Amino acid sequence: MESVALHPTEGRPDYGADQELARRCASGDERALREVFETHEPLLRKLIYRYLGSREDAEELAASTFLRFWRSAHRYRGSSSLRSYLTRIALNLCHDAGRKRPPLAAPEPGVWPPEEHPWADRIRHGLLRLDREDRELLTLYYLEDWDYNEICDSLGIKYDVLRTRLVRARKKLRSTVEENND
Amino acid sequence: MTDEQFDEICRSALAFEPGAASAATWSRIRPARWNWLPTVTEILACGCTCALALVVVGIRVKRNPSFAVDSNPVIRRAMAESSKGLQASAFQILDPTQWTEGSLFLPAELGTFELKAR
Repeated sequence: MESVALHPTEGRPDYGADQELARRCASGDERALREVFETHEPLLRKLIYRYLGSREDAEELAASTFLRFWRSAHRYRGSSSLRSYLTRIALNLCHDAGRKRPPLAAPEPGVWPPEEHPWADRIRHGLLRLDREDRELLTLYYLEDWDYNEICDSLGIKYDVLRTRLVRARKKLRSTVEENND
Repeated sequence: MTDEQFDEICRSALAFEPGAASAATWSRIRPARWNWLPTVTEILACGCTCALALVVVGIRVKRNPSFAVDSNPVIRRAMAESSKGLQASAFQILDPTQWTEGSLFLPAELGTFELKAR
């Protein structure tokens, strides 16, 4: 039995604080905008870097994500976390960027730990070669601290679909990595 | 290798410490006054909507019989269908009670007619 380390939480979390923050952003409160930026920019940059493999794109698209959010903050209704909402914007921008130019064959060099697992490099390459849906899913799944609600909200899918797709995507990544191991 | 072990390897392979949010990026994207102005697309959309609304209102007014304006029979007779247009200007007679007769001349090509006040 294949397992995924995701479990549904009881009920829906309350995103009232996020909603209030977004409301302040929508009214042009610069302190609220800065708070959103400082809280979420590092995570978005990390997400985009993992998804596209380019540091420059990660910085540029993270900035574009916030510019787009400034304009659409009034549409945020608090039905998902602000982090999921921003992630959805970032993934759409990644998708647009991916259509304009072919994906990188290999991620740009990062600061990796000195003693890595022998598969680590192949995993980074393999992730970039997956199709869009699988890459989005695994990028979010391997981000730390994400619960299933946020992944479902960010991708706009239900938990059962998430589980099925996750098992399938991981199998694809694993077979890519193991092929290259031969 | 179990799925959990594979997940662990993936997490460590994809680990990336992004550092704090960049102040330079913030200063580049922080909302300036112009950020809140409408975009070109929004202006165009608004303009098209207003133009369409004006056209619709214009058509409705034109089709409304209460807005029909009959031409002035005096002018019509004076013009004798010799011209399609007439430029007119308004003037005021300060004390018409002192007048016994007045004349109004039109340019020669339109003919002349006389307006008499009694």
